[in-house]
Amino acid sequence: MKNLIKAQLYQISRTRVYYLVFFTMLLLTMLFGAVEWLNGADNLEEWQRLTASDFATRMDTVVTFAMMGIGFFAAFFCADDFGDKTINHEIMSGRLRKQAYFARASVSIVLCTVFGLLMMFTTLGVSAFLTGWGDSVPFSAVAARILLLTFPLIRLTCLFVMIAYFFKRTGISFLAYYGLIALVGILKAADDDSGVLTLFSTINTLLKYKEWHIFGLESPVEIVYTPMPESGFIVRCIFVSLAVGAIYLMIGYNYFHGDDLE
Amino acid sequence: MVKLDIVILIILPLLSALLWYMAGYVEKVRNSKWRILWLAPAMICFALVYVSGVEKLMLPAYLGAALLAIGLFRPDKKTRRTASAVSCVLVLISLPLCLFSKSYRSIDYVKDFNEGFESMKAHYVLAEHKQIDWDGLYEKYLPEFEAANKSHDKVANEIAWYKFCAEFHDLHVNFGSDEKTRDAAYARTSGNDYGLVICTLADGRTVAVETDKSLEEKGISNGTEIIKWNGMTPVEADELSEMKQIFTFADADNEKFFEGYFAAGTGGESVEVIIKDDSGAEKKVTLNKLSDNYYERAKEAYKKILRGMDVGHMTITKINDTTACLRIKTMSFDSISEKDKHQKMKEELRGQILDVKKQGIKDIIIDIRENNGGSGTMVKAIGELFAPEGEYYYVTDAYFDHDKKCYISEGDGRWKSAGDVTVSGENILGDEGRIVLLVGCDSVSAADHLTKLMSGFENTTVMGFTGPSGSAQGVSPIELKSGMFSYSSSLMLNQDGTIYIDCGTDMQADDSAEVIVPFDENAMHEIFDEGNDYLMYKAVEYLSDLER
Repeated sequence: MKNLIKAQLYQISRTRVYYLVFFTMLLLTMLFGAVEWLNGADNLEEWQRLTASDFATRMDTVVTFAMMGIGFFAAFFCADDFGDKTINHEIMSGRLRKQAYFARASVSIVLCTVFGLLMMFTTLGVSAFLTGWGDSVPFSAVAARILLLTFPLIRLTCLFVMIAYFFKRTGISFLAYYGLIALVGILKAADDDSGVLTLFSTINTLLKYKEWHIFGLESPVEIVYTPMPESGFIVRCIFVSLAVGAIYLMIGYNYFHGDDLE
Repeated sequence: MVKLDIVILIILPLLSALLWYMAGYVEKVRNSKWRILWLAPAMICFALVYVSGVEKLMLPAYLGAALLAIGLFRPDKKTRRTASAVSCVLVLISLPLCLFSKSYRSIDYVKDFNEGFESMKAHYVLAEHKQIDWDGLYEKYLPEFEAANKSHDKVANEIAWYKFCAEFHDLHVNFGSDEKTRDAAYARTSGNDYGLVICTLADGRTVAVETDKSLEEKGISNGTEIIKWNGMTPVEADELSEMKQIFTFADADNEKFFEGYFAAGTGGESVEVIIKDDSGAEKKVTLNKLSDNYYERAKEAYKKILRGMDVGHMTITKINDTTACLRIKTMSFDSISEKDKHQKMKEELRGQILDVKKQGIKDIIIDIRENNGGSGTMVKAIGELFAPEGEYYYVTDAYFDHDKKCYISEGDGRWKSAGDVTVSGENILGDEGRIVLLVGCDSVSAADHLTKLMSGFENTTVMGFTGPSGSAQGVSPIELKSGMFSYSSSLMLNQDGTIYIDCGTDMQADDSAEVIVPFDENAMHEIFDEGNDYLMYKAVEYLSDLER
């Protein structure tokens, strides 16, 4: 399997379109990070300025783009080899289906998760560089929340891996992302107390800071954020994300394993 | 949510039946892609749960949907058909559970209480000032919420919240779900209606008001003195009323005004009452219960005592040739006024005042009875308009430490301040003009601010049966599953750093009426028999008698 992973990495490193998509997405996130500065944040009074720490409390748009990138990469990493029959040759040459499946799945999980985290940190970095960090939330709390995103991003990648093995076509697998986003847009989610019922509620709970407002008669409204999510949620987030991710992988593998046997 | 549960309960057996059939069909028309079909029930169920939320009584149905996915892993006909049958049974188990269990889609009131309690404990700015014993309160009220949760009783939950809120003697600590539940909660705690409400007059006598006509034959009408209620004085009987526990006052004087008010709801099928008849002799009468809802009668009497002038918000009404009334029902004007700190509203009001001045009006009665509060900037704008020339102190903003994320206590009941807020008087009425500010114990929050601010003006007299509510901190709401919970969250200070207006453990709020109009026999008669606005009458009389 090690060789298959190496082969995958080699193939990825030699595919120019991946670099193109990667840098385009990165550029997009940099623009997100610069949006306050481009809107003239530097001309505002200090108390009015939306700094990087303020931006950190509203990063849900960035994560939506990160998810799109993950959908793209997972679909291509896993399903592209069905198009030119590479995967068939692998199996014909004595590789196990398990190896073919998990080599691609593991490469996708690692690279997609790193890609997602990189997007989040790049946005923040650009924002901090241009507008300063500010004092709404400490960097350590933001970093911890973004690092915790690793787990729902693993869950998401596993979902796309499963979908890729269902369809075996890169385009259709990638379109599943739009289907998913459209569905989430149309359906109004019920309150999820656990915060882990769906991927979206997990990401939302991680990126949404509990806030509190205080005000004076002549002093501006202050938003006081709770830096860290509850410990119970963190534990649930880790375990449920990994468990559901594992289920997706299991279903995907089971389907791939028994595929074309009937 | 319920509709979607019904959809799940209908669609899953249908899918089970379909997959039962497909289990046979796919053996004839073989294609590995058929296997994905067995994921469909779980996916559809998940999408519906995403919208409707998880319901624990639907767990068998969810399990049934998940069970069908076995068909993906074990693609043989027998397993698939067994899964279909078991799934169908599991779904059908959910149906009676949802139909007959009271806990179906019920709110976890204990969880809600915990959330509200923890939030308040973290952010309530008067905790130190009022010496709140959080642990004691939690221990006292948790059983009430547990009982409400156990019986899935929304009204009991509402009552528990009202009692909890009343402990703070702060009219900014409130809970509310909906009007229907609120009325049900008050009705349940109010006791029985025997056809009267008891009020305490300024001389200490307790008399019947809002009396039912059926009591006339027993010699009871508005003003009849009630000596004993079921063997107790009305003040003693008051303590038996559960409604008294959910009624809160921030100021002891306001609480005293309503002494005996809840007594007439206490008792069983009938009560023995000792009254003073027309000749002055004591007489024992038995009153039978008219209904089990004292709240409706008590509410009506409460309204009559406290209601303000019945005209539009921010309208000026001529009372006589020299006096007009500015009615302020709430401290908000319109949605955009907050942005310009009510300056346009001030201009509009200035225009109105100048118009009535041209018509000969010299004095203004500002009626803020029943004013439930609102914006401090509106208070400031009104204050600026009516204040005599010069600068008047209003309030001090507290200093909020950005790093520590809290207000800074300087000990001895004082807090670090951020800056004073003052108003520059415009003296719109001129040196001859006088103002009476009419208040009641339900003039709350920003109405308290206006009272405190204007009581510092040389041209203003604050008047009422009582002072205003005595609750003046900034308030923030949080949304709980069972309703909205709000409490004082932003600190307002006096110039010396002490708490602005709100009472401490002594229940003495720092704003009051300069002229307390006695609620005497005359007031009672004018309000309950004649339906007149007695306080307005006294305000006009006060202004006409005033030496200039």
